[in-house]
Amino acid sequence: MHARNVRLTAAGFTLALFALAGAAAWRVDSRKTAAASSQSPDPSPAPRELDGRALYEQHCASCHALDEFATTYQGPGSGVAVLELLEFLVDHGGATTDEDRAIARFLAAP
Amino acid sequence: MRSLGWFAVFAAAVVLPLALAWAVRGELWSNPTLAFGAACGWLAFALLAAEFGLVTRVRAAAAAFGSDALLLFHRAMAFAALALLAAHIVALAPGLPNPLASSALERWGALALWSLAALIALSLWRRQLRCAYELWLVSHRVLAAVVVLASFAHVWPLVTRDTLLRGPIVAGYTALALGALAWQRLVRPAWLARRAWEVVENRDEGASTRTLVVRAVGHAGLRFAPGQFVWLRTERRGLFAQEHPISIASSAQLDGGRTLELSIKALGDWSRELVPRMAPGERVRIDGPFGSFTPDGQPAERLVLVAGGIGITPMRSILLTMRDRGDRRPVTLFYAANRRARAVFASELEALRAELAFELVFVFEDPEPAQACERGLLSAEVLRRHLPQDLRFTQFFVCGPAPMMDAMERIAAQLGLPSRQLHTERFDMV
Ligand SMILES: Cc1cc2nc3c(=O)[nH]c(=O)nc-3n(C[C@H](O)[C@H](O)[C@H](O)COP(=O)(O)OP(=O)(O)OC[C@H]3O[C@@H](n4cnc5c(N)ncnc54)[C@H](O)[C@@H]3O)c2cc1C
Repeated sequence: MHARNVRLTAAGFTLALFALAGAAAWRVDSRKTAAASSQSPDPSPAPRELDGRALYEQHCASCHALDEFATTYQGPGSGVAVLELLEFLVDHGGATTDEDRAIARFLAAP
Repeated sequence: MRSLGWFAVFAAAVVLPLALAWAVRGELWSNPTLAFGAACGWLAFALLAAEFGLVTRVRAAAAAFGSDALLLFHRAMAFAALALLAAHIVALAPGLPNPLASSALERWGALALWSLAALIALSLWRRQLRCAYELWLVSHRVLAAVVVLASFAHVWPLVTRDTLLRGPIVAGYTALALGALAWQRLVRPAWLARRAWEVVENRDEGASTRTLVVRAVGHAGLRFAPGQFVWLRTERRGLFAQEHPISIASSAQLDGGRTLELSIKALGDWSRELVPRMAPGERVRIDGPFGSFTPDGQPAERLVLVAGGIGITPMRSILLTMRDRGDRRPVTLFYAANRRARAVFASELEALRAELAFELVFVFEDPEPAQACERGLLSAEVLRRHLPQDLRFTQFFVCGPAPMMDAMERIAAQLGLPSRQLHTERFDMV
């Protein structure tokens, strides 16, 4: 296999990886659009997803009001904060990681 | 086909952790930018772990692609991983990652990123930094292990109890990457130590080249295809063991694989200082054979060999093997060198004309005035002058310095040669 083919394969593969990451973003975006067009005030969870709001109310709401989270976990640049929140949730309380993820997702976009 | 299969395995390993996140329940992110960043992070993590697979001397993979192609791809994938990590950071936490940050998540992530950047910079500018190859190799392995361990520490807290199976996957990828390193640095050398080889002759071939003749001690040696190479491990010099890739220059039919000839040109400290001093009776270790640079198994009615400088060694093996097997297919060797005195094995190759259907074309840059040879550099015209019009059933094998290899790829395109007919071996892997 000569060098040009290797370089072409590598470039194609790299582009495909970025396209996959782009598809991850598109998936989230289309889910948001679908939720908005169904005119419900909150993005409702997709059928196979856990309900973050209900879980938040069950596990966290008694001590932490929703407003507490808005500045830290919402909007661009909040990536690390959201991951740290997830890390915290994984380490605390009795919820499963799936439930923790649903809570974190809800708090990042209530 | 074999190479497609290996590539599919590699691609699947890189995509698996991300695909799992999609397969089951919702992902964490509700913001597309953050989702993009997270996906880039997963892909980078898996890609970095898979990088170890590319350089673990798995013979079947090396045979499918060629070791130089694997290394070239390994290098390109390091850039891909760096680009994915950069996108990961820009999307999730814009700003320069700080390895001293108070958040453990950021600290480990930053350590992985900066170690990868240092590893790539050292590989790119090793020569400019005057870093010895052996020192570079050790630093490369240490930095690679740091990248993988720091990535693991960065990701692990998020997936410890993950029902998407990503916990075991993250742990498994890290273990496989470090296991590959341990296999290559500890297990395989220990196994090879029990299959010793002994130097029986150290011959001066002229043109700054020496041939080490080595013989298996108490084992059956190795079966190889002409054109393949081995890793030759000689005595420790200073802090680092010396292990160098060297093509087998002898016939694959010689002594049932119990005797090998390795011709080594004095290019650097090891080849200039240590190799000439190796005396009969000295023990060496040999790991191999590796590589797919061989006409064995290739459907060819005619062979064209193109060698530059010390790139003649695999060609010598191919020609001697053809002679010993009674293979009378037409074969043309273009042998490029500065002048005849720099063309090692020139007389021996000339003598082979009597035993093979063999045309030998010297291409000298600086020949004697009356010398029968092509003058200047290799070009499509030089090749056309000596080859038939119809090259459909011809396989080309090219080995030489990097500029010649690049030139040959252009020449092959000018000759309309499909890539499946062009086989290359690059000696300047790093
Ligand atoms: C597949 C393959 C087959 C080769 N076959 C031959 C052969 O038959 N005869 C021959 O003379 N040379 C061969 N080489 C080149 C040979 O490996 C280097 O010339 C040799 O390692 C130089 O070592 P040095 O310490 O003397 O020189 P240095 O000055 O230290 O190195 C010169 C260059 O050789 C490469 N190199 C050095 N050490 C290593 C190492 N341990 N592993 C990989 N690359 C290294 C590096 O690119 C380095 O910049 C082959 C290389 C490859 C990749």
